Amino acid sequence: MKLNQEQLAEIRVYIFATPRFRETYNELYDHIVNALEELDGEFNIALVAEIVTDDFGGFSKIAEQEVLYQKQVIKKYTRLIGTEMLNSFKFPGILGNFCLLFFCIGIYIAGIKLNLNIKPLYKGLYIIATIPLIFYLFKRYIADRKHIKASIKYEFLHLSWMLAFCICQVLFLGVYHANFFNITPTVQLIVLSISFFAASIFIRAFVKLYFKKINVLTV
Amino acid sequence: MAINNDLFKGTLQTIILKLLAENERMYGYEITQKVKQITKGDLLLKEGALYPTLHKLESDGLLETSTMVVDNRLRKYYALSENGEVEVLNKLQEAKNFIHNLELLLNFKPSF
Repeated sequence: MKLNQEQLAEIRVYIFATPRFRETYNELYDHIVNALEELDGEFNIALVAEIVTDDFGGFSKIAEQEVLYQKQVIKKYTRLIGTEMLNSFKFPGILGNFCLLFFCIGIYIAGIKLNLNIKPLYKGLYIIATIPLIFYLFKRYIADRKHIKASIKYEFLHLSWMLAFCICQVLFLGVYHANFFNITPTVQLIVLSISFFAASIFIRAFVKLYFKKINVLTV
Repeated sequence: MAINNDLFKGTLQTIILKLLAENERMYGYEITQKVKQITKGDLLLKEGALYPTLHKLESDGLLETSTMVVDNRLRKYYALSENGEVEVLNKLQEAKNFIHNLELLLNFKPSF
């Protein structure tokens, strides 16, 4: 059967409430329309209910599968960001890492010999840590503002900025500000340099992944 | 005679990977129809099993996805990734060995 705009709208309304994410909703909608177009006879919304129940196991099953899918998406992006981080150690990315390493060694030497004030470097680390948050807010509230449903990718972005921010907070409070671990200024400087190096690699991988995979239509 | 669907649940990943190896890219509904067509309706691949398997293969890095607008709606296509192309060969070999052992265990005899 060939569906008209009114019937398509009726299908969209019928399935709208259950899927939390637009990726699941779009896939479900496309599947139902394809299945209906294969059928003969007159359109009836009961046919949609039948497809949802018989083929997908009902709306409750769709909701269950969506939770599982969200976990798999997080796993996928975690794997991809890991791959991007490893790729930064291959040519030509490794050149950038060498520059970063020399910069961190420079901070360490300057800190030891010139008694450098390292507080601005912690602020720098905080600025780096806010980059995933800026991307997350931009994506969710500006780039995707026209979408009614949330994207399944938001959770990964959310976790990324939380992770970066929490690590910075631990470093700032635990190592620099309160010095819970009672470590010497030299060790503080080493921890800071390593953190700066690791955070930069993470952020560069995050930005690459964002433009390659996250800021695109597909999952 | 329709085949009990439980029998092919364990080979669902292999079936999907093989179909994608033969077709450049496919979308969910197309996969279900292809299975139905090849098996002449004996095997019915339910969407409730298909999509979780596709998503699992995608998260394992064996599939890559792309999206296209078709008839004013978004359609998600699945294709084999580089790792998927290697894995499909392993999965097929695994299935071949399994069928061979099953034949030995169940002692199938020619029906002619």
